[in-house]
Amino acid sequence: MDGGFDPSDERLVSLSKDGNLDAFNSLVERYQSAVYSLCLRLLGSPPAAEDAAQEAFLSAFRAISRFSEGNVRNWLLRIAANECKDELRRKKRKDPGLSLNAMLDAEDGPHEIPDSGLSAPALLEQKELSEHIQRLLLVLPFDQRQAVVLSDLHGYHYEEIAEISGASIGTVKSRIHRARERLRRLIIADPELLPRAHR
Amino acid sequence: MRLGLFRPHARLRSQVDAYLDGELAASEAPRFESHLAGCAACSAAVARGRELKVLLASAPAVQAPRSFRLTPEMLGEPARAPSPARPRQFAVRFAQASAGLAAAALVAVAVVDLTGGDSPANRETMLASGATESSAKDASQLQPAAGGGFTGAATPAARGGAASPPALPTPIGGRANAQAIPSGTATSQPPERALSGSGATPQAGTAGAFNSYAASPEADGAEKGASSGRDEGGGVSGVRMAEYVLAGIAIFAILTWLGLAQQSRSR
Repeated sequence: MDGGFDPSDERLVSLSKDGNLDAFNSLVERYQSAVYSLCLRLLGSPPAAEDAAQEAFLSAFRAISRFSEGNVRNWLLRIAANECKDELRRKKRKDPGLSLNAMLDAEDGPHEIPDSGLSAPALLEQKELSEHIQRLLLVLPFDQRQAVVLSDLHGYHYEEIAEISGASIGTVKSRIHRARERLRRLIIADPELLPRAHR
Repeated sequence: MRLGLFRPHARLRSQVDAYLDGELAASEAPRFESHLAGCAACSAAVARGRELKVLLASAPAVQAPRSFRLTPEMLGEPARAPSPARPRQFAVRFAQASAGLAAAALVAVAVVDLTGGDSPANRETMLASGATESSAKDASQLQPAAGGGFTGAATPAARGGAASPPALPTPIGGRANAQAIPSGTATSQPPERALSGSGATPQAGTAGAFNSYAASPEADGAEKGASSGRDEGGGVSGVRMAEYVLAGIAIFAILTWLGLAQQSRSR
């Protein structure tokens, strides 16, 4: 799979269906940042996001024969979102009294921010912003969080979000509206939720 | 919320986010924009919504902290230790290659052996023996029988008797052209040998022998079997010896290959 020519997703899926692990790993490398990013935003914890992303790729490889058509990236993100949902359920079952803030305080680690050549203060500001946004997102119910993350952080259209979340476009529209309403109310009530520069 | 369906403001207010995301239907967007122009509350909601959207979109992109490539171990397929299997694999492949080469060489030698009767030397032998017999009777009998395929006649030199090489008839076919002038040594082979296998009668002369030779491959093979398997001294020829040796090598290599392959499978 090395070389200057990148095979299409369809070709890699076809080879993966024949059990070609190298072909599937090419898909993994192509979409692992998108999958990990979604897991991190949905779970709020880098170690949990790593586990969920890895499990998602494992599940995807085992289920690749059932992938018929459509966007393989959206299919992978859907599997990852379901994995995150299951992980949150498991966590809640283990410790029903666990609050979101406790989860954040216990597990929130440094988010991997790509090196963009920024100065140290700018990087610190970016890290602070990322953590504030993460705290905001974790206040939302899972479905609303998923819709907002995919829309505002990943930039997907409603149709794609509907495909990833397995909901109708109307439901996606409603989830995004309710999620943003809730975030707006939270920010108005507690400006500390925002970084200083954004208050 | 249900009342909102009957109140244009409430219904349009719920479309603020779809408007900001560019997801309003083409027919709804102009109506929403005309409402915004006259509704301060909705305009303020759009402004706040835009700020929030900008804030969320400013979240830095996240990169995967490590590779999530799958390994056979992850899939529950333990990786096979390649080191002990390699010498065995090499032995299997070597035996396989040896068997293939020996079989190919055997086929090549067998082909040479089987087509050996077609060689000029063999034909010379046959021709010379036939010519010797026929020339003893009358060289003029070299004239072909009707439909015999020969257009030429014996040269005067051929009429000189058995001591001188008989003249060759000129065959029409290319194959007969290859049957060159017989050598003196070819006459050492008894005439019966060449003719008995071909089934031609001595009376038919050389031309008859030629016709029978060309038309009867079975007879050709029988004749070759008599002439090529043993040398003039009656021993096993070099070609036949090579066949035996190569057949032995091929059988040994095939048996080795099968044995090693069977062992590999049973592991």
